[in-house]
Amino acid sequence: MVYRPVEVNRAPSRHRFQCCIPPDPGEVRHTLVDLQQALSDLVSPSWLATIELVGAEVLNNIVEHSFTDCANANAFIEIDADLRDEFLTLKVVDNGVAMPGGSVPRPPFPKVNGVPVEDLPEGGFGWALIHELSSEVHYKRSDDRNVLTLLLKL
Amino acid sequence: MELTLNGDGPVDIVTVHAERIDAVGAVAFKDAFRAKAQGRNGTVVLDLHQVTFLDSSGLGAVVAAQKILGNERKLELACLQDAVAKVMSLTRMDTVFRIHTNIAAAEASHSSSAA
Repeated sequence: MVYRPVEVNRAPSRHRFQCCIPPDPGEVRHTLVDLQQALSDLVSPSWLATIELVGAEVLNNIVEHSFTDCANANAFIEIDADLRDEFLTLKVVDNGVAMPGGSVPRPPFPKVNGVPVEDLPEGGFGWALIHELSSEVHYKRSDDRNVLTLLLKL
Repeated sequence: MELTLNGDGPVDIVTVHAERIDAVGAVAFKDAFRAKAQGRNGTVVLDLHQVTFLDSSGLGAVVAAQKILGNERKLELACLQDAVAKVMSLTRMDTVFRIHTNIAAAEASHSSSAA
């Protein structure tokens, strides 16, 4: 199930990046760098940065929360980034545990202004960033897999 | 992760020699920062000119660096690349950390306050 390297399908107005990795922070980093390279000639530096940030937050969430219960030798994360014209659809599938409550969290950004140093938040920004930077966020549980689909309007 | 300290000027400058502060590098960043901050006093300016990518894990590590300094010492940031500046702005961390466009500006602001 786990394969690398990346496959990039280049049609005239459609560019697709697909890969499948084990849930590991180092693999996530490699994937983000590969995705950057695949898209670098196609979108502006500003959008490239947004795509990388959203990708990092989504994939790191999965690595941290989806595979916590026990070691799973068959654990995988599939990434499918599909760029058509001005839209990037980022679909991420994993075979970890279901999202608690069956839907994506939608927390506000943590309060930081005027907060004492010792109380400043060191986390809790991930989902807020994902929602802030994505036009649409869809989640479903299907065949014991989490399917998260994001739409980014470039 | 390699961090270097320049303690010769009006303010301590800690430079990050890495392109990414992310989920992979966050703990290494905190450990390296703690080592550089130990035994020093005053504000620390974190020179991020080499950092092209910072995610929420990296942001958490920068917040942790301020906590390492405690209440008496300020962490300030300098030389943010666009992608890093964007994360600071979206999360409003640009209201928490004083941000300098370059090292000269950071040093100048501390020389005048010392004079």
